[in-house]
Amino acid sequence: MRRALIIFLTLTFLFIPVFAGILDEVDDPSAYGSAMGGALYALYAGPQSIAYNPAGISEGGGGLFFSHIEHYFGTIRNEFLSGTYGFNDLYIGSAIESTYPLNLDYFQYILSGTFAYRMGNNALGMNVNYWMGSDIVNGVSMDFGGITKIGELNLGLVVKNAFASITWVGTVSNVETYPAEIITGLDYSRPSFDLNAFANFTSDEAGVGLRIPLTDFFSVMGGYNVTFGIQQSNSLSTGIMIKNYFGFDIFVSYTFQNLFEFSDTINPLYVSFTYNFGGK
Amino acid sequence: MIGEFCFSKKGGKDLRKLLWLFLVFVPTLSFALQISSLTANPVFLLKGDTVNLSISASPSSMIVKSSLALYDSSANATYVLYNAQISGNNYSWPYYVGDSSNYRAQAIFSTSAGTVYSNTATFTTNIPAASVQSTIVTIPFISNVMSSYSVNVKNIGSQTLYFTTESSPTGLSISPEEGQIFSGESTSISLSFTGFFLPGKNYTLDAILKSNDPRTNMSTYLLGRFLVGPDGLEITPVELSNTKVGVGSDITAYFSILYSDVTVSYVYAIWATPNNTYTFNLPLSGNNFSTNINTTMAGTYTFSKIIVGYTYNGQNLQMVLSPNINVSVYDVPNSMNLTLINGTQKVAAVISSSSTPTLYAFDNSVNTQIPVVKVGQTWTGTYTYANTPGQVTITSSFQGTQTVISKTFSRYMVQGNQNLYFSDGWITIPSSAFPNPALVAFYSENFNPSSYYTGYSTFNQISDSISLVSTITPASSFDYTLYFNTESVNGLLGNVKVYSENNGNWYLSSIIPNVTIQMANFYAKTGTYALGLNTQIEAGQIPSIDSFVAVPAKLIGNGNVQFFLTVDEDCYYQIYIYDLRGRIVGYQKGTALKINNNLVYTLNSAQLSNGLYTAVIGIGNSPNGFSQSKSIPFVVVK
Repeated sequence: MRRALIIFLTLTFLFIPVFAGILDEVDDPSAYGSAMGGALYALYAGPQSIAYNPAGISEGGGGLFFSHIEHYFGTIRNEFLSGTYGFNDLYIGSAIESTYPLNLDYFQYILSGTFAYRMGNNALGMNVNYWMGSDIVNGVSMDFGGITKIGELNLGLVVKNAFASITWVGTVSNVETYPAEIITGLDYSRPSFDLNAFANFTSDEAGVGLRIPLTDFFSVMGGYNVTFGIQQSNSLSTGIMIKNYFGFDIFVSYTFQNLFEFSDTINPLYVSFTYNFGGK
Repeated sequence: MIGEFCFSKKGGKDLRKLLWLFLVFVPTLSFALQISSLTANPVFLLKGDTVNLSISASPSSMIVKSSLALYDSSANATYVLYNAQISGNNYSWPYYVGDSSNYRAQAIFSTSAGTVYSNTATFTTNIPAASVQSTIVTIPFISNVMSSYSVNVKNIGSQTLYFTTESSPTGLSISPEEGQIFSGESTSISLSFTGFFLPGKNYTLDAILKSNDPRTNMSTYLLGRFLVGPDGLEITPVELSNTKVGVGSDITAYFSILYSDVTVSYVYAIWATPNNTYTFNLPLSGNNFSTNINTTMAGTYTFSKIIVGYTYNGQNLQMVLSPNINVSVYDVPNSMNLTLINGTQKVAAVISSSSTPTLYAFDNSVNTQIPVVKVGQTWTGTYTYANTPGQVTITSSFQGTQTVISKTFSRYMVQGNQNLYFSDGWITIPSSAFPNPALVAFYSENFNPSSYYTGYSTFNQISDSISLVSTITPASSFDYTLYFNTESVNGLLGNVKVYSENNGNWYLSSIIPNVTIQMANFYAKTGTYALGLNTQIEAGQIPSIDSFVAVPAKLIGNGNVQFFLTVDEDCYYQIYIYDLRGRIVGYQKGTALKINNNLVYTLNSAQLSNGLYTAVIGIGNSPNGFSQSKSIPFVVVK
């Protein structure tokens, strides 16, 4: 198990300096994900897992999830609504994610259909994503994900935006294709804490997050996220999780992104809700 | 009759009676209480002040009791004060006046012989009363533009205050000139300068307020005293040679600059023509200045500004005066002058016109169009003529007109010892003036012997550059003249610097340019240079963002997105371009000037995927501390 962990961590932090033209999307739309540094790729996080690892929806009876975030001092708005339902070990889900700016005529939608299958300590999942928007004629992409349990670790592997191709209303080349992204995730869960990490080897993103449950219903979280574009961008996050509040899980996070560069965090507040249909 | 009365028997009896009465009453009268008038001081005072009521009475030994009866008319009440302050024969009652009212007072002395009453003294607190925050301003520097000041006047009395204002001596404008202020209210009186003050002299100007305040010596107030001069700089009114001329004429403006204890470093005169602005750097000699402009097109010419740069107390300062005198220029025919460039086979055609010229050279039976370059209202075309004798005709036609101007010059091949005689008979050039053989071109209107090269280029932005290569062997230095948009450097002439290019990077050059409003001259070797603005960031200033825009906000196709920042102070900035994942895909640090639309970053879309991005900018007065941030979205669709 230790060897697996070492290999995993080594892979996580050995970034391949790929700065390819990856798909431009909000890949961390949840307050839970934000509070955990984006590291939800090895977690069974319910309907919000559609945005991270589709295999992660295969736990509980399903539910609804909604999140609203305001990026970059509020100039970029993102809403993510998803729902899942479980039929024994087979889970289905769907999601719609909208992203739009203030004071600019542009919007993009991603419609996702999700399937996941749970096999004991293992799960597999898949998203089929359809892209629409003000400047998008159409587009498709697919996400594949798996979660497996090795000892006390959950390991996640995601191939995101596979076969991605979008037709834009452009003048140069209407069809733009994108590389599939390889993402690994790790979850080390103990009764007193839950440690998570992830790395996206294609987009040069990584993050770690720690959740500490104070009671059965209340947890505090902290996370760190880093992206390696042409400059490093750092985020420190904190958040809370309130579980099963009249059937809802409530996530609130506050993120300090590039605080020192701008004397203010540019992506502060995330709020997300999950309504659970009830576990099996 | 009297003697009869006195010396008769009856009269003697009466005389004794009279004597007895005299002996009885004179001592009695001699020892009666003597009192002076009761006085109130001050008679006019403010509520809360103390009035002193005083009287003298003698002999004091006769006084059994003293008191003062005081009648308050507004309260309709009478008070009796007993405890007089006694000093010898002087009795006084200080009284704290706690009401706005009219008062009457009477002193009362009780003696063994009876009660003695004084006269009635009056005083009042029911008055108008002015309170003025006077100011004394020392203005050591006289200029055409001097600040205004305001003084607050308050009525602290209970009655309406009426006032008038005046300047003593004249030279101040005081507003309002008269007015009234109700009890408890105040008004602001503005003071400004209207006089013409000469540098080198001292002036003392008082702003006076006169009012109906009845208090002693309180009816006249000094609102402000202005001690003006002796240093300073004054520009006298401008006179123009003409206010209506034909195109091609010169207009001359005259003015004087008077100054004391300053050093004038430059004087710019700015003319606004119908579609351009020209700035002239005037030579500094004496106090009298003149500037002239040649009119090249019809319309209104305006002598718009005089800018004087000067040094005062070690500070480099600038005075701007805006005469804005208009001259009406009416249309006249277009013109073209030819200049043969000595030592070359080139001819320059310089054309003045209000419309675009088309230029042709007819040389050796070949018609060749000459490209023209527009600088201001002048077009210049250069043509390299053939190495053969004969005539060359330069023809200019003008867009939208039937006008054609044609001028010809001649070339001569000097083959031997021969003098050149020209048809007008005025000029003979000896053969020894030329090598043998030589091609000599001659144009009688103008012959330019200059052998230096002046490079020029017109710039739309301050960051444009000019590149010159010497055509002279050995390579020599050039006078570079770079032009730029006036609006780019409005008020920032001292910030204009020369930057030189080396291996693709720009460096601040040690070359100090001679900067005028629209162009800068400097002397340098061959190379590529640009004008730039260097910031003057002050640690104490907190800059703020006036605007931050992306152009275009939606980029369609490959190209650049440019980000423009407008700030209210010179500052440092840092711009990050984020994609939706929070990755930084563009980055720039730098400094921004207090001008409109600093180009802070240019992002090429080739490196980006299609989609939505955000530019976040932070500004501050230190390179790593930002006091304000702002973000804007933009879209790339290639």
